[in-house]
Amino acid sequence: MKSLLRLSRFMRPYGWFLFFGFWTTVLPVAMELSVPRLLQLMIDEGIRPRVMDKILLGAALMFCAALVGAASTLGQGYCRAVVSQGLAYDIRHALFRHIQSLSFANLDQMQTGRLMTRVSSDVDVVRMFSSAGLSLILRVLVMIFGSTIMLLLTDWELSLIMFAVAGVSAIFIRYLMVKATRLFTVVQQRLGALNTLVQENLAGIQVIKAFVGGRFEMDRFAASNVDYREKNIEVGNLLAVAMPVLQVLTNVGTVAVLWFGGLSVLGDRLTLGELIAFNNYLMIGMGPLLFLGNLLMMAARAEASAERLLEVLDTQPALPIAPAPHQAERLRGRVAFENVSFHYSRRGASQDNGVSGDDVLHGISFVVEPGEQIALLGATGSGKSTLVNLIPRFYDVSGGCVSVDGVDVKTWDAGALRSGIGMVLQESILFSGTARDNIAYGDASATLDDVIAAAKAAQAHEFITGMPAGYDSPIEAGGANLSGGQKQRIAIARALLVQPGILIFDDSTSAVDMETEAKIQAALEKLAARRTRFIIAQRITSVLKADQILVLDQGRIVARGTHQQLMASSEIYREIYESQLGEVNSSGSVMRDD
Amino acid sequence: MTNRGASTERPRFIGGSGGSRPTGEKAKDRRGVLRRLSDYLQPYHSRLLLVAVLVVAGTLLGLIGPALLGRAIDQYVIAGDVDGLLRIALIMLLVYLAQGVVTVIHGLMMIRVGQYFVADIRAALFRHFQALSLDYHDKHRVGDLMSRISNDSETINQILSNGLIQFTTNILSLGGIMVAMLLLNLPLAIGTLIILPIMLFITSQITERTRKAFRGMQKNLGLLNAVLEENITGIRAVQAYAQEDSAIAQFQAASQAYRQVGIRADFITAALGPMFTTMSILTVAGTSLLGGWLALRDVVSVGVIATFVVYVMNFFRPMRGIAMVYNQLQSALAGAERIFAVLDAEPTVVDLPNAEPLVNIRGGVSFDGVSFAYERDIPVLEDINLEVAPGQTIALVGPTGAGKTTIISLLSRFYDVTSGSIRIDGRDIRQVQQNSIREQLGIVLQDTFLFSGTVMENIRYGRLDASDAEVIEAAKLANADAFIHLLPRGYQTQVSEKGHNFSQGQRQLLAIARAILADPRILILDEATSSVDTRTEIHIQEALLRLLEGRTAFVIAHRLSTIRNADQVLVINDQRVIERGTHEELLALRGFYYQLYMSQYHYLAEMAAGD
Repeated sequence: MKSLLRLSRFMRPYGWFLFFGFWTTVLPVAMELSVPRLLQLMIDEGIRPRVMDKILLGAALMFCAALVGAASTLGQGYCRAVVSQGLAYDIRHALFRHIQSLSFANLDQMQTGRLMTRVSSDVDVVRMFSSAGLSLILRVLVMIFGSTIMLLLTDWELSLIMFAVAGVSAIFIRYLMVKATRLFTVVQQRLGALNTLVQENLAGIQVIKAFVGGRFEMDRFAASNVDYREKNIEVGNLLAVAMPVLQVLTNVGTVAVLWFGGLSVLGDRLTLGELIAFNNYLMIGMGPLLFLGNLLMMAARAEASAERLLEVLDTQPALPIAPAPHQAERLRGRVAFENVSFHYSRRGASQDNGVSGDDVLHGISFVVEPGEQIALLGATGSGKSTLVNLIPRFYDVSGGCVSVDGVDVKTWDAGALRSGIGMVLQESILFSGTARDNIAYGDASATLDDVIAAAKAAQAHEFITGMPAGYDSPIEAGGANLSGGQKQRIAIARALLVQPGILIFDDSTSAVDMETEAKIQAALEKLAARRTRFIIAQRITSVLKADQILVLDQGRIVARGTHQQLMASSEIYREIYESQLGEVNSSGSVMRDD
Repeated sequence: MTNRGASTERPRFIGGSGGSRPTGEKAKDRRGVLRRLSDYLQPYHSRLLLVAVLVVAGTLLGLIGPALLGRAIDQYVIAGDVDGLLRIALIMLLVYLAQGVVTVIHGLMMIRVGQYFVADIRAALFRHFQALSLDYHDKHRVGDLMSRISNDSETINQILSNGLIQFTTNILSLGGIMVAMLLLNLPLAIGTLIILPIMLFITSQITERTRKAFRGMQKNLGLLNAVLEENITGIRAVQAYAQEDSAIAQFQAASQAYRQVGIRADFITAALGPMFTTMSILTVAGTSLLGGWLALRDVVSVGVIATFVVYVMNFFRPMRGIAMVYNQLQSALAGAERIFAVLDAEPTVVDLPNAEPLVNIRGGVSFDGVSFAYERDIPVLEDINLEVAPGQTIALVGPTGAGKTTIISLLSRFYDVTSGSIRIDGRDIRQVQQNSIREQLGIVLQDTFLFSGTVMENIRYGRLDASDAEVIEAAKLANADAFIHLLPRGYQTQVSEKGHNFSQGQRQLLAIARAILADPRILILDEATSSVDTRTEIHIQEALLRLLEGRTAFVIAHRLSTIRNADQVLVINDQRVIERGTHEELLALRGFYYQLYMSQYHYLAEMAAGD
């Protein structure tokens, strides 16, 4: 229960509600506990001596007890609702805020699907436990405690029976707790494995069909399915045995009370009313044990969820915040790398080629003056994306220093730095909302004219105006209603709109046809001439006009210079050039023949 | 098809945790769903019957206990008969033990039945997912289908492994208690049971309200999840544009709305349980008052009153249990309905009953007046005709969305044509088994999908019985061997979720290796080379040239070199083939292709001249 206890700090703001919740839980139990006592009064002083007044008195008192119980029950319901919902709200909020503060290095290691499950279902599990679970535990404890006191008051000798039963039950319950928690963890793991398999299958159904993998997949699924079923049966069996055992224990207690109590009545040590009251208290005190199965499940689940929640909350953002972050209204756009090396964190999946721990970049040094255009060329996995990801400080360098406008990015205020950089990510991420909302994502105050200007430059204006509602046309979550090229163009417009000091295109035109790409380039030259531009592209035509071209190979800069310089000096560069533009020359001959 | 990539990226909500919580849903056709569920339970009918018998026995034994207690007090304690007291105490002990044993047995049996049944359902769903055609998968989100296999089946499990027994036990207990009361003392029983209709009314009221409240909660949770999903999957964009604060504000608003509805729902449920306690105290008060009054008139004994009080105290637990099971049942039926909705969906691409496998093909392909529409009245392809001799390479050219991808999807028979026909070696592909067609095809799709597992396993997906050596050979041909060797664990390196630890280019190399391993007669490449960097692509081109030899190939590519090497180029625009021929012939036509080519050529030439 360690994790749940740690989460209990979220309860602090609800002190008063907890206070009232506590008493409104205890009160109905106390009322319930008074009933056997009142019944005893009715039997011993009313029915047996035949005094109707006492019978009436007892019934009236019970009636009052019921009313008090009812009233406080309503209060309890309200307190519970406020506390548990408030708690869930606060945890969700803390989680979401924390997730937003995590760096890309953290996010690489957490799958987004899992993060979401944490914020939604794990929080809900903890919430339900904080309401139903806690009140049930409290109720059970008060019941057992209260009935123990009542038993002692009624007859301490017979109470020994109760203690014996309770002792045995406690040992048994402890054993159950340990075993159930362990089994439950295994069940959750198997469920996770099963879910992963199904999810992959559904997502990759086209590949499965293409390679006729249906049978193979069904076999894999069957194995996982059976595994999950068997683990579930194990947990189920445990509970199926546990509950009746506890019930039998209670009932054995009842019989023992009847036997020893009966003897005591015969020996005139006990009245008949007291015996009946005693028996009723035993039933009340032990009854809640039957809820134990539910309670155990709830607690085990809540603990597991709490653990997962804390795992997120305990993740330190991999990017420490500078003591006095550097602020600036605008970026001028000077970028310098000084002997930068970088490797992805050893744990979990690394971004580029699975070579975790090894340096992805080594000894990278270069300076870009404001307004310059830098192109990065290199093979897949050579470190181009990684390099540009260091500029907005999505990751921290492992060695060396990246500075923007002469200030180390580590001392920049992350918000100020990133607001000044227009980055078009490799994967275009769009949000649900209108086309306009998406383009104005980085600056909500942008006017429609700004949006249109950005869209025109990104060659997105035409297709957006072709949509039924133009700029107000809805974009589905993830841009599901757009083609890849359209998504990329909206993402480019979004980057242009923020009027950034530095523009970064990470292979952002891969899904756009060549003609459109050329138009985007032309527009950029007009619109963004004064901005520093980093371009990663596969097509050599995109990089010809760059002020500097950096050719990367296995994390190192192997050649640099302008197009002319590289044509003269770099064999790799020439090779790339020939492979792409060679086509023009040879097909040009076809044209001449024509 | 264009939506597939995006829809697969949706995160999903998977729980086993959702099952125990009522969702406040109701099935539309409850009776029908129940009947079908019971059909599915057919294999377990005999065991269910045995369980039912055991449940009845256990419940009756549970009822005998308190009855014996009353007798013990009246006949032995008051009369002072120690031997009788001992005897009855021992009988009670035996009864309780027997009840315990019976309960354990039916509990164990039911757990098995429930788990087996649910595993059956999951398997049936999974099998059906595999059988359903792509058009179904295009229209349904992964998360939605996932939740049917995990959450919905779990709600049914809840009701089976726990709910059914609870329900029976509780109904029997209630009935048994009533009968026992009536037998023990008629006037007192009638007096006590008067409250029953009132209880029922209150219970049904509360149950209905709870259901509504939960439904409201479910709806708000959906909204919350939508916001969450977007901001977490898009978190890199959120951070890149420093929009964390607006994301938080957006989330907070949704979270707050959910909390408001939640407080209401929680209040109702939290008040429901203890309400029963209040009512039980009230009833005990009434019963003992009436009992006392009757005792003074010597109509009842003290022992009977004691027994009645025990009965009354036991009366409300079953009531509460039934209310709970009722809610559970509603959720289970709604879940079952959703499951049946999937199982009822018919695959649109089905094999004819007498379909034969397509084996040893030469690779001739013809399209004869093929038209196709994903949705009625929105044609995607119209009147496509083509003839490909074995071993020829066909390049499909045209703007995005013109229908190139659809052509190869139809050839793979992911969808059936709306009209016209497609033939391989002269045989209509609708006349043969669909799997046998795909076994002849090697397909490299736009977005390369990798499964979790090792690199070796991922390549082997092309041909499951391939040896390690064959896998490595294929990787070499695809020029993937070089980078695989650099991985920390080589071919045994684990591929993470959707292959995120590989670059796009690497993923494509693996997909090509997969296709090479499959050794198909017909090869399909869908823009597979568009995002591999130039140097890698040179290697791929080499490998593909080797692979293309002697095979029929359909290629969608941007590259001029591919197009120039093709035996036929089809230019597709606005759902039709508008031009066809070789590269040279098409240029000579001076039509659409010429325009397309020239605009690029001018740009390239200008760039090349610009240096």
